[in-house]
Amino acid sequence: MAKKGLGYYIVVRALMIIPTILILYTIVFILLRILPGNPILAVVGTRNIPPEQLKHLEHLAGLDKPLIIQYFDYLWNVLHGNFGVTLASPMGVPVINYIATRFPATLELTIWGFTFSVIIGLVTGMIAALKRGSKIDTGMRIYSIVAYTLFIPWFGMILQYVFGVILGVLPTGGRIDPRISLQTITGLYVLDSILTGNIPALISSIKHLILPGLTLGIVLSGAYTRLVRNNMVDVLSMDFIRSYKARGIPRYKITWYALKNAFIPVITLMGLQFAILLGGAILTETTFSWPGMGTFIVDRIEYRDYNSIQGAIIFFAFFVAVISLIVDVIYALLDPRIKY
Amino acid sequence: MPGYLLEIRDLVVKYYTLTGVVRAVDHVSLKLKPGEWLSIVGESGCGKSTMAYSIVRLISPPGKIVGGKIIFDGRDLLGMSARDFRRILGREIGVVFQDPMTSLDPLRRIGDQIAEVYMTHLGMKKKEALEKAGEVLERVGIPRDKISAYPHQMSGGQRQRVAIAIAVALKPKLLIADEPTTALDVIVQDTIMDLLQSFKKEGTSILFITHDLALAAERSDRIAVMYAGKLVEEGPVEEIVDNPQHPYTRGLLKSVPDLWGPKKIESIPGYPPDLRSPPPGCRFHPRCRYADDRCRREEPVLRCLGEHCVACHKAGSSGVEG
Repeated sequence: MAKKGLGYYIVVRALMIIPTILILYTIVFILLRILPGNPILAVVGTRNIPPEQLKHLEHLAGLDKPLIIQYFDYLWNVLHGNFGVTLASPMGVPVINYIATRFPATLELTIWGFTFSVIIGLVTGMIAALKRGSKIDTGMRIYSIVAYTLFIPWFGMILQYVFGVILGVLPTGGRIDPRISLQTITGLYVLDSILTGNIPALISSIKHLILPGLTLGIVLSGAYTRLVRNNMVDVLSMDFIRSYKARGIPRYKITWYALKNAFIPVITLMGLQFAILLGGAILTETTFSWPGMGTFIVDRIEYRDYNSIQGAIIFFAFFVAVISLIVDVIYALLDPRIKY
Repeated sequence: MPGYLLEIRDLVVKYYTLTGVVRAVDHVSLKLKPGEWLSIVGESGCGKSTMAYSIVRLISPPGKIVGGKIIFDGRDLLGMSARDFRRILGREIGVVFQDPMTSLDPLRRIGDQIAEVYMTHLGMKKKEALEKAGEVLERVGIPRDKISAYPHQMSGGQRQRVAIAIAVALKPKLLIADEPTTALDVIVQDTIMDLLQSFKKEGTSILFITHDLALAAERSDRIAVMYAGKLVEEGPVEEIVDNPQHPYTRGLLKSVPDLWGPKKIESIPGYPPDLRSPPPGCRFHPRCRYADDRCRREEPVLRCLGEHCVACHKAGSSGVEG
């Protein structure tokens, strides 16, 4: 019965992505137009160039059209899979080319940050719950608040200073040692190194991922620590746990059932965190000179490169929406109480 | 001496809370014969549930069993290892809890939860265990095809039947039911009581915990009344109902409305004492209208006349009559 509804549920959830992206695009479009200057002026800067040449350049970039036309033109292009071309330095490069190289970098960083945060959060949260009321519990709870409030660039720089400068064991920026050549297949360097059997590249790319991944992971783990601890404490005190005990069910099985129940809300958080994670990735990328979507967007904002920014953000949003859809489906499959 | 299935001897359970030590069960002794239905009756906080949980060793910190013995079928339950005890739990002793809405795992099909008992205790394979689960479901009055339902797809009454099915799946010698009908409406309550009684007919002894003396009186063989952690009166059901000796038991009986007579409902004045610092002497004396100096000073001991035991200085004397 539940299976029949699931397909319908997925379709409905997928359709909800459309208005989400539409709203986001509209906001970004308006914000960009409110910002002073435009791509042409940003490149020209303070140089004096003839007004007619300026007009010509603006015409080339399509900036002389009414805003409403610009709005729908871009939307129409995106619907056809065309994210437009860059408007400034360099001009005319398809935005999708940048996304193709930048997005895997962000995805790789995000996956590591996500994995670190979930592992750290689950372990600390479970220990805190099992040692409830002890000094360890208090310590874990303080950790969760401190981690949650850490400012990524500050924390990232501390890690860079300790591991990169003082200890000198880990690189402080970039994705891979520039002297190593790696044939890219997926754009995820760790995966590519494994696929091509390139051991030096594998070691180098993992080393480059540790600090930014850990920065992101620790900052995001705080929320998991707290949630896992509280859920686990709640579940362990629930009646059905007592019922299991009263049926003579072995302890390890009961702990497993408790963990399953405590994990359900954590999945929701994972979906939400993934969106925050991408945002956090922007800060992490700028701190660690990571050539991903975040640094790309920041870079393009300086040039007021409307097309690049709009394209990158729409792509980002679509990705986040798809991930959150997947998380919801997993959630629905795991929890029989969910009605879809 | 007749063989007892369950013998609680001088049980003492304390809760070590931040604001003081609560003596939840204070030197209580009880005996249960095979095939018998014993109800423990009392107000909230009188220690009746604590006593039931002590039998199945579900008292967790800050609670602690500090004294006494619990002998089940010739074995010392409190003294045995956790491993050995787990073999008895769920197999020889079944437990049904108060709230059916929360006593089943929401993430697992009820069939799996029932089958697990067979697999854990009898080492059955899943398929065989599910077959047995279907049988026991039908036995408690739930269609076999509900076996793959999740708890949230069932009503409170059905869930309690499932909980009972799990508790009786292995035909335990003792079924402990802690207010199993309190969370249910009266009609469903009655069918659950019928169900429990049908297991009694098959030879299962029942230890029934309730605050409802009238409900206990309908089905029990014997009734034990607890007040403030103490056993105050105990005896065959007709003795307790027709010839109550303790003023508290009388108070409980008077607080039950009678549909067929012009009986006036009376409540017991006051509240049960704070068990961190119970009153000296008889614990009931602040609420008792027969209380005198001796009651305020000296704690009454349980005295028995035949099967009927009572802990009251005034019992049997004319002072309590009327």
